Amino acid sequence: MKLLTKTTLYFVTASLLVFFVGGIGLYKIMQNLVEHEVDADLYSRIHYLFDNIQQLDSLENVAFIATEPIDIERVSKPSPTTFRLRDTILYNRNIKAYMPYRQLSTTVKSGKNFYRIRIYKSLITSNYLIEKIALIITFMLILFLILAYVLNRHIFGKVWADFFDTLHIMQEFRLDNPRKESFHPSEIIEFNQLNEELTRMTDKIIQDYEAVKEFTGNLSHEVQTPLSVIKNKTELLFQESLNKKQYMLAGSIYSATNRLSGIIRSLGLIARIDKNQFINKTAIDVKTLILAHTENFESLMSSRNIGLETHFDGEPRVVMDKDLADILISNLIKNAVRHNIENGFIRVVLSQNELVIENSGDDPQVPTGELFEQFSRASDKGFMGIGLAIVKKIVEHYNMHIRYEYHEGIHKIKIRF
Amino acid sequence: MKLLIVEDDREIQESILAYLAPEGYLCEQTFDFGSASDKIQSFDYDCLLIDINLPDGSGLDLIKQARRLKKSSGIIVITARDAINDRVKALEFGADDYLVKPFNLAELNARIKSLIRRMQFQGSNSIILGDLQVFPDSFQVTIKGQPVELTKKEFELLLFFVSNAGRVIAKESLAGQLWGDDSDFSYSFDFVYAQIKNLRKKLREKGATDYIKTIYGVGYKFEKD
Repeated sequence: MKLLTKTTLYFVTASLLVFFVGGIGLYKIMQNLVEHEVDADLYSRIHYLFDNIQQLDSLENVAFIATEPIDIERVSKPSPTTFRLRDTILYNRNIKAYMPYRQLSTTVKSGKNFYRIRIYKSLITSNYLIEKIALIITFMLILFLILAYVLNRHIFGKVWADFFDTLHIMQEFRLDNPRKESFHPSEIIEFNQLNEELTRMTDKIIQDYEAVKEFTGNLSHEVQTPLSVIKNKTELLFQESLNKKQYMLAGSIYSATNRLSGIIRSLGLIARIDKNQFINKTAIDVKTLILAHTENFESLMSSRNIGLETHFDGEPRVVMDKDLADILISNLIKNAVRHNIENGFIRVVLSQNELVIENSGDDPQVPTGELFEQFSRASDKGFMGIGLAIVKKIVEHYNMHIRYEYHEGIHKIKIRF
Repeated sequence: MKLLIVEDDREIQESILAYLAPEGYLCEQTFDFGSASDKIQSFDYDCLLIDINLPDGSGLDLIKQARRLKKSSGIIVITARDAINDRVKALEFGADDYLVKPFNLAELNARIKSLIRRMQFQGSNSIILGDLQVFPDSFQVTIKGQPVELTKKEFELLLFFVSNAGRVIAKESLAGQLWGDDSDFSYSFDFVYAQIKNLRKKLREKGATDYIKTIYGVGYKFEKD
């Protein structure tokens, strides 16, 4: 959930709750006030009636001076003079419907007789009033809520704007190509602190990354000389009259040294691509390059009965470093040969802006994305996935796109120039 | 045959010397630019083996110097893998061949022999080994005068074997010879094995001695006699 959505949601929920409780409270208070008013009116009328009863000879006539409905009946036994209030409904002949009324009943003595008097006051108008007021309140609340929502979003958006700026800059950040884009100073202390921390961290990361690159570069260079020595000495050892066991041992040393030398060389290559040391640009004829490399592997392919299909629908010329182009194509073909199966196939399709290499092979057994990572082992043929890592590096270096797919025994690498 | 080896690393220098010893060359060693320059100035060599990266100068200048003095020596340079520009320049300045570090000694030996052959016979040359005759420039092989049909890879292997006759060659070096790289071709050893099997068969069919001996755990050895 987005920051703004989340805060707005909290705000709206809280406001709704407050307004709901407040609205009901307000309604109750209003109702109470109106009721109190009605009751007060009824009392004042009954007292007015009492005053008049003294001057009238017959209580029956009292009904005529009342503007509101009134009931008077004679009761045989006097009940204690109390006032009783209650809500009731009466039939209104004018509108032919039952209407709500407030009733005040009491007993009064006139002459020798006792009478029970019930007076009423219509609640129609007061109810109407309450309804109207409630409606206005609700309307006001909704209006306020909308306003608050808009303001909230606006203000939050404004307050967090610097944060979003920072976030955007961080999203654009690329370690292998760090453009020093500084954060905008903010009025908010915390955001400035965040920016400071981020600057400190990214600086440190870039620095470390550069150091690692430098280190791998130097390492691959420095290590080659001692490796050369081991290699050459082992070769000399081969020439001595060794016994079987000694040959096996020397052979293992030689193989391992060769592998190590290859790995370090590849790391060095990656480091040099990172350090942007391939600056020569030549328009590379991809078709010729592919033909040269497939020819080099032809005998190896036929020895495993791997069929080669090539389709050239274009003769693209890609501007890049000659050596990198060579490494790129050779690694791709080598990879397709190496991870193939007996009686398999390799299909190379080259068009004006795309190169697709498909080959039969076993399930890679690693997530397809990881295949391009350094040292992910695709299959156990002594292969360090560094060949494809180099391919990816070169492709990214020239802002080309690469995609790998595996589907039912077919590996497919697609490069868009 | 007089060789000058210019290489600052003593261990590598010693290895080269030890490997080349059976060939019977007269090898001289120098470890720095200054003495190498003096030697090139004063003596004539058939072959110069020059490391480009020297502590007190660039091997490239030695090539220039040798060519300026109109020395007829063949020149093989040793360069670091990264230094592609050095390689191009070395060839421009008149080097005949180059090797990339780390190289294997079998390859170095083959390169030196090939260079010397080219210089001595200027094209029309062959290597005779027992009843086997190899013509490096026309890609032909005869056994007791009878031509043998070999594929390109088989021929490359045979030439490499013949150049390193009598030596044990690692299968990695053979694979590297076939694909121009020697690090990660472990998956192609089966192929190398198959090629050698075919080569052996073809040579035997023509009545040649079985020259190629398998050295278990390492590779192969091409017997001299």
